[in-house]
Amino acid sequence: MSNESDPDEEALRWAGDEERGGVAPRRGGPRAAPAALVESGEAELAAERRSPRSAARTAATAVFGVVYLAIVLGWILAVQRTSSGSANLLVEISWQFGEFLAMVSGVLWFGAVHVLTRDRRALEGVGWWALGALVLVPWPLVLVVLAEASS
Amino acid sequence: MIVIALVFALLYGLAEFSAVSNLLALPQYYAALGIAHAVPWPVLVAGVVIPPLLFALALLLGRGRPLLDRAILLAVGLAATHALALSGVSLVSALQPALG
Repeated sequence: MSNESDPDEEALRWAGDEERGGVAPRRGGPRAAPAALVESGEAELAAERRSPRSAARTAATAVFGVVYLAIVLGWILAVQRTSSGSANLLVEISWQFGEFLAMVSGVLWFGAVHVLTRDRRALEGVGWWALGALVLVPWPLVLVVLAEASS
Repeated sequence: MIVIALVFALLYGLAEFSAVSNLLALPQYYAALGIAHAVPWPVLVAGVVIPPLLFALALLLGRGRPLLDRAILLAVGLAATHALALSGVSLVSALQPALG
């Protein structure tokens, strides 16, 4: 190493960087991305810019992303308040399985709509997202909150 | 696809099984408690109808799509089935009249 005398610099280097043609890391500098990645990213961006619906779709994705995040959080809180009330192991296992699926239902629905309506009209995705938001309301939590609010 | 559909049929069947046992057991339980008039029939019936309905819908929506897409649709339907089942359970306990 050429600058072993400087402990600060040494902390930012891996031994053998120079031999492999590496350069000293830059503090706060832009990270180098593989050229292929950058190119494909640019191609995607260009394709999106060409599509007049891309802005609406991005906005819808962001809005429903927040909605579904709330749904997932709601279910995570909701399953803390439910229990099978059964000592039967099989019942308990299938109950836990159901709780797990309820927690991930928001992620699955959001992701599935995002992936499966990619080539369709933006409105179609919005419709499916809206339907899912209605179906997946975490009632166990909502009912508890309502009961506490009214008492 | 047959294998995937069968595996999912089994998992949907699990939800259907507990819905049916709720439909059969809850009215008796309510009768024993003396609140037979308050059996939440719409919720119980919905619980029995929803699993096969969503299974059929997932299969229908997946027609002509690649295998992975069909599996995704079935998984979403299954998760929604269980979310709705838990909602139903909480709704039943919220609707249950005070005892005594």
